[in-house]
Amino acid sequence: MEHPGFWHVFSVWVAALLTLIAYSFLYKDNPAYRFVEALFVGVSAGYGLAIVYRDVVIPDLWKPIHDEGDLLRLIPAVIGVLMLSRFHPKISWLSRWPMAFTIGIGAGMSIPATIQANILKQVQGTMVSPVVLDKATAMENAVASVSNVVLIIGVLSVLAYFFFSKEHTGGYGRFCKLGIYFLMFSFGASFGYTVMARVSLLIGRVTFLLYDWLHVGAVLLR
Amino acid sequence: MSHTPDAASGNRDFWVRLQRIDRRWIFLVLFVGVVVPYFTPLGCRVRPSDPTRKLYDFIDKLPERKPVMISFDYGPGSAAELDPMAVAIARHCFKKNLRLIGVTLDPTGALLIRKAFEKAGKDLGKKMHEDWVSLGYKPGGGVVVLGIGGGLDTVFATDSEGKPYGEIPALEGVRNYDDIGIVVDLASSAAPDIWIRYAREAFKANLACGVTGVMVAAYYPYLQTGQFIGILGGLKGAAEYEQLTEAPGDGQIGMDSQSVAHLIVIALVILGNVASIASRRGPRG
Repeated sequence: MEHPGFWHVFSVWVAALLTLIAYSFLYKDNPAYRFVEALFVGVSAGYGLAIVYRDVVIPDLWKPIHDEGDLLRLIPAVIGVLMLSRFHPKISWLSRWPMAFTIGIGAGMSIPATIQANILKQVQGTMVSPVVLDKATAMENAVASVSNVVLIIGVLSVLAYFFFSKEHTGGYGRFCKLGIYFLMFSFGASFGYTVMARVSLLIGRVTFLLYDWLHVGAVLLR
Repeated sequence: MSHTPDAASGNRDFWVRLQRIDRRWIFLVLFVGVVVPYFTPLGCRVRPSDPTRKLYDFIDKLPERKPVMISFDYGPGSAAELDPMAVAIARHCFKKNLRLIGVTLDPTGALLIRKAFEKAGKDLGKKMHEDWVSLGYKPGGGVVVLGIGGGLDTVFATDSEGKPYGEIPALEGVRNYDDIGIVVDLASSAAPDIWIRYAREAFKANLACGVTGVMVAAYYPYLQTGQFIGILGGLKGAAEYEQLTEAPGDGQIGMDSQSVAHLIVIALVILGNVASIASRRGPRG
């Protein structure tokens, strides 16, 4: 087996100790936890900045200007730098130009794309037949039909619940209440997935602590 | 059976105390529940779900050397859930002799590309630049995704190592989405929305996603409309994909612990509700 180098062992120990300090918050807030929290924010910001420098500033700005003489790259660079004028009250108005540029491009790009992807396609996806006959077996047809009916009633009842121009009373009120039940099912599913996600993060750390740090555990698959 | 008023009051006090239990006991029980299966595996089986199987089947049918693009739109904070997916998908692609292209819309995801591809391709002898390439990070989100549709080389003139686009064998013949078999977005943010809007709707790119458990419920509607070919949800999605590829990895390691933790949470939810109801019953003083 290849022996891990000093820096690998060192980095594993640092990561393990930082993990334990982060989890110490679960027992009680303490200065060591707050240090690790601040360290995480600082390192994340520095890491992001270094990547932007390596993957964007050097290949997309410095090299084209310096090596190829592509001076057109100075235009977006200057527009970007104007964003920083917000830090000086006297010239902060200059930041409105890049902001206007960014908002204009963003709105122009996203409005038609969002209508197509999130509204028209989703409405189209709801236009299904309540009776399905094209499946292989009668059982599959029945399951698909029930699924489509639930989908149609679910969408309509939830939309009715969010229609506030008519009082939620009588038969219409009961239909709106059905919409609440559909919403509750949806919230329950989201909550279940959230629990799964949080436990997964804990599992990730436990796997690291047991296998990479302590080298213990029966299920050694790595 | 009847209770005296004192006994009923004592019972109610018990349920009230139970609701005020120090939450650190719950953390401890959950921690023990997660750790124990590492030493005594329970062998919980993972049954691949339809959304996972659809993605697997699609990739499985791609012809040899067809490029697959994976977008690593997450940082180290979500790596516990999404790294196992990246490795499982990459391993499947390498076994099928497909080429892999890694990109990211999140600067903190840039270094995760190489780590995942190296881990997946190590045993199969896959090499950087020949079988896979990391194009790294570009800012702009939607602008980048739209730009790839116009020409991948116009957005990424070099890879993250500085090698020019035209000198990378893994990118030979790859102009835009037309030449890419499928784009798989692994995300812990709203990045899948960007890929749907600008890659799927604008260029009809084949698209799938793997997202954190918190987000997965929000993306199921896109599966039904066919905008996504498949979806992997959280660590379970990774475990399902590993099961399909018959290559156990970090996803399956955690499934026993995940099951035990879920049973504990379900028991606590039931206990909490019973305590809430019981503490409101009986004579009031």
